[in-house]
Amino acid sequence: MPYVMVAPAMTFLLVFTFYPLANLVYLSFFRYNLISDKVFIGLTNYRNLLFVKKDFIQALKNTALYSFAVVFFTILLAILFALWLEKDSKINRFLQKSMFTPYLIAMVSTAYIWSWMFDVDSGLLNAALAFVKLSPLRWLNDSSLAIWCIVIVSVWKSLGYYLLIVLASLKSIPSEIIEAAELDNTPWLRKFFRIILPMISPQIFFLLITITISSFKVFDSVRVMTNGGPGNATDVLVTYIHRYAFQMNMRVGYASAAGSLLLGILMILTVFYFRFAGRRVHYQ
Amino acid sequence: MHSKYTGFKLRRLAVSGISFTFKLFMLVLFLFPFYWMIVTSFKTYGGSIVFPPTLLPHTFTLEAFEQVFTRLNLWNYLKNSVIVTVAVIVIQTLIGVPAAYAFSRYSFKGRGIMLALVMAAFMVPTQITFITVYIMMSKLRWLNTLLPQIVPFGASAYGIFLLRQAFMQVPTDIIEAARLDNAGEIKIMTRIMLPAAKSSLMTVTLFSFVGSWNSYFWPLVMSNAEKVRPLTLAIERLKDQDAGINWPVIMAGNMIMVLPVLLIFLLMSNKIISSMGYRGIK
Amino acid sequence: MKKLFVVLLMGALLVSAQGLVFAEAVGVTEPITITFWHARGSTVDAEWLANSINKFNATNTLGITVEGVYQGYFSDVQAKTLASIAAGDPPTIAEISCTAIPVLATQDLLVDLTPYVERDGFDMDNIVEAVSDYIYYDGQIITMPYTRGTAIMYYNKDMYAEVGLDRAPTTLEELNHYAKLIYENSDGAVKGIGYTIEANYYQHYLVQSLNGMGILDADGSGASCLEDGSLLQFLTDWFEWTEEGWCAVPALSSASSVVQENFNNKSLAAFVSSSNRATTISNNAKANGINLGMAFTVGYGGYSAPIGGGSLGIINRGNTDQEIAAAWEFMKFLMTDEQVAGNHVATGVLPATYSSIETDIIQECWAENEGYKLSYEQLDFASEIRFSPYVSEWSSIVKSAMSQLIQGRNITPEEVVQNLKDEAAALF
Repeated sequence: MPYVMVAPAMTFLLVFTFYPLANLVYLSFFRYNLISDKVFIGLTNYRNLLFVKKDFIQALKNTALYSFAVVFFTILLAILFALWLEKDSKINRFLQKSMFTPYLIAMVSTAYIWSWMFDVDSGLLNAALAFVKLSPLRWLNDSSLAIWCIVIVSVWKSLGYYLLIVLASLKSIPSEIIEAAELDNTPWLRKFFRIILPMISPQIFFLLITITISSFKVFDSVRVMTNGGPGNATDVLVTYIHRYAFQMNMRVGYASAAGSLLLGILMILTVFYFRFAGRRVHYQ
Repeated sequence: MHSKYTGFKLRRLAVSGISFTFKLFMLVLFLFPFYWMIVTSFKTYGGSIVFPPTLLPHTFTLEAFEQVFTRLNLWNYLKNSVIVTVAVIVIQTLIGVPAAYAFSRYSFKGRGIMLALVMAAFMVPTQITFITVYIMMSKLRWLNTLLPQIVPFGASAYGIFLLRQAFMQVPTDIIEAARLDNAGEIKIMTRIMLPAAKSSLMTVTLFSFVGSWNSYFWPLVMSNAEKVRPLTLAIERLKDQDAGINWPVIMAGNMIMVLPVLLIFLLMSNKIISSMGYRGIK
Repeated sequence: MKKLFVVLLMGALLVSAQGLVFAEAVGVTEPITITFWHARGSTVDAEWLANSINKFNATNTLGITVEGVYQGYFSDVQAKTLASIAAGDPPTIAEISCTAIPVLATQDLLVDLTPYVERDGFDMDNIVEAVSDYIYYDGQIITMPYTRGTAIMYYNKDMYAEVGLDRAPTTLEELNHYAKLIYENSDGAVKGIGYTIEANYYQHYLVQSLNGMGILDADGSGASCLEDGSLLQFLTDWFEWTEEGWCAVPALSSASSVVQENFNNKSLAAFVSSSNRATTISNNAKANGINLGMAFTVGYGGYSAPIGGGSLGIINRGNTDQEIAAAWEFMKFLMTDEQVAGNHVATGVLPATYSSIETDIIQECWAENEGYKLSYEQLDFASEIRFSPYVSEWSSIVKSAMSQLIQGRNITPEEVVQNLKDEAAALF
C-alpha cells in the first residue's frame, strides 16, 4: 500500500529530477548541439570552461558575489526586522504584509519595475538623486554597480518572506525562557546571542541553505534587467548555461559541463553547510 | 523622581517616534514601486519620460492598456497561465498528498532512501535539469503544447516534505480510531489528514500557484510557439525594438500580470501570512 | 589511398543521391497551413508584415495559410529555430540573419530552392547583386533576401549646421571633429554621435575601413584584426571618444531604442542605425520636430558601410514536401515587385530586386525622400561580413568584449584584445 502511494511521486522525481542530473553529467563529455551526432571529447569542455575561455570564471565570480551578498543581507535584515517588528501591533502587521507582497509577484515583473526606476534618463532614482543635488548614477549600465542593483532587487523581493519565517520562529521560543532572561536583567545583546539566536538557529540554517540555492540559480532578474551586461559584469551561471545551450549554436555539451559544475558547487556548499554550520545548530 | 520619569518617557517617545518614522519609510520602500507601476501605466509615453518625473499622471490615459490589448493576444497568454497553474496545482496535490501520507504514517523498506531523495530533489534547481528535460520534451514532440510546463512539475518535493511534517503532527489515536471504524486509507486521508493539515496545504498550494504563475525561465526554454507562452513571457513582446522603450505600455502589461496575485493576496492576506509564517517551516 | 578514394566517392555519391531526393519541386495540392518565424517586432514592421500575410492568405489560390510568429530579435529567431529543428518541430519558413544563415547552411538545414527557381523560371539575375552573397551556398540557392539592410547615419541637420557642417560628413575624422564641437558648444548636454554595439554590423564596417575586412578574415576562419592592430586601434579610439564624452555610451538594454529616444529629445546629434528602421526613425523625428538627415556611414578615411539584415529560408527538416512547396509560394509572393517595393517604402529595408526599383511605389518614395534612395546607393561600397560558420559565435564574443570595454569600462583595450585572442584560439 505505501508503495502505491509514493510510486507516482517517486517516478516523477526520478524522471524529471534525477535522470536529468545523471544525463547532464553524461552529456558534459560530448560535443553535441542537438542536431549533430554526439562526439565524445573527454574533458575538453571542462578544460575550455575553466582554463581556456575566461567568461565562465567571470560568471562564476559574479554568481558567488551575488549569492554571498544576497544570503548575507537577507538573513541579517530578516533577523533585524523580525526583532524590530516582533510586537503584535497594527502597523507592524501591516508592514509585514507590505514587505511580503513583493515575494508573491513574479521576478520578471519586479525586474521590469526596478529597471524602470533604475532607468538612467528618466528613472525615478536618478530623479531622486537630482532632487538632493547629487549627480546621477548609471545604475544597471555601470559594470561595478549593476550586480548590486540586482542584489538589491532580490533582497527587496524576498525579504518579507524570510522575515515571516524568522518572526514565526521567534514566536515559537517559549516565553518562560525570555522572561527568565528578563528577570535576570541580561543585557540585550547577550540575550540575543545566548538565547534568541540559538533558539532560532534551525530556521536560520534552513534559510541559509534555501537562499544559497536560490541565489545560485538566479536568472530571471538578470535576464530582464541586464541580460548579463555590461560586458559580462552580471553574467551568472544560469544565464551562461542558457546562452550556450540555446543561443550560440546550441552547444549543449558545453552547457552541460557548465551545469555539472554548478551542480558540483551546490553539492559542495550543502555538504559544507551541514558539516560546519549544521553542527552549531541548536535543535529544540 | 518626577523628572526622571518624564526623561524616560521622552526618550521612549523619541525612540518610538524614530521607529515609527522608519516604519513609514519602509512602507514607502516596499509599496512605492507598485504605486509607480500603476501610475506609470496611466501616463502617456511623453508623460513618462519627462524629467523630473511626476508623481501623478499629467494627463490620465488608458492608451497604454489599449496598446497592450491591440499588440498582444492577451487572452491567449492569460489562458495559458491559468491552465498551467491550475493543472500544476491539481496534479501536485493528487500526487503529493498520498506520498506525504505514506511517508508520515508507514514504515516500509526504502522509506529512508526515498525520503532522502525527496529532500535532495528539493535542493536541485530546475535551472540544472532543463537541458535534459528539453531533449525529452522534444523527443516526445511536446514543445508545441503546454505539457512541458506542467508535467515536469507533477511532484513537488517541497510540497511532499511540508505535508509530511504536517501529517506527522496528527495524533496517532485518531487514525487508529478511524481504522477501527473500518475507514479506508483514502477516507483517512481526505477526512482526517487533510483537514488537520489545512494550513500547510494552503501554504503548499500558494507556493505552487506563485511558482507556476510567476515562472519565467522554464516557459522561456520550453515553448516554441506564441500559443503556448504564458503571461510572464508576454511582457517582453511589448518592448518595441525601435520605438523607444514605452514604459507605460510595459507597466500596463505588468499590471495585468500582477493584479490577480495582488487581489488574491489582498483578499486572503491574513490567512496567507499566518499559514506562511507559522507553518512555513518547522 | 585507393580505399580512401573509394570511400570518398561513395560518400559523394550518397550526398548527391540524397540531394536528388530533395531536389524535386512539388506543387501544393491541398489547403495547408505553414508557420513563419520572424523578427519584425517594431510597429511599422509588424503592421507591414501582417498586411503581407493577410494579403497572401486571402489571394493565393492554393489554399495556403501562413501563420506569422514573432520570435524576438534575430538572435532569438536563430536560437528558437535551431532548438525547434532539434525538437523536430521547426517552422516551415523563417527570417534568418546573416549570422545565422551559415550556421544553418553548413549543417544542411535549409532547403535548396534551385528546383523551384528553375520550375517557376524565377529570375535570379533580378536580385540586387549587393545583397546576393548569402543566397548561395555550396552551389545551392538557400535563401531569398527579405529584410536586408545597411547602416545609415541619421543626424540632426540643424545641430551639425550650427557648428559649421551644412552637409553630411564624408569621413569619420570629419564626423568626429564636428561631433566634438557639438558636445563642447552645448557644455556637454548634447553628444555628437552614438553607436550601438552590433559587432558584425556597425563595428564591423568601422574596423573594415582600417583593415579591409573587418572583424572576421576573408576566408572566414580567423581574425587577423587581432594581430594587425586594427581592432586595437579602433577600440582604443572608441574608448577615447566615449571617455571624452562626445560619443555616447550605448545603453545596456534596448540600446537601439534608447539612442533614438536621446536623438528625439535632442541630447544626441547623430547615430548610426539600420536602414531597416528608416521609417520608424523618420516618423519619430518628424513628430519631435527634428530636421533629420540621412547619410552614408563613414569610416576611417572615407565612406564605409555594412550590409546585414534578414533573409528568408525554408527549413528542410521536419517539414513535408507540401509545406516546403507552400513556403516557396509565400516566398515568391514576398519577392513580387509590389511586396518588395512596399516593404522598402513602409519600413526602410533594402529593395532586393532591380525590377521593384522601377515601380512607381519606389520611384515616388525616392523622389520625396532622399534617405531611402541613399540606402540603396550606399550598396555601391557597402560590404558584408564573410559567410562563415564562425560568424554567429565570433560576433557575439566580440560584441560582449566591446560591451565590457565601452559599457563596462573596467578593462583596457589591450586586455580586451588579449581576451579575444584567447577566445579566438578556442573557437577557430
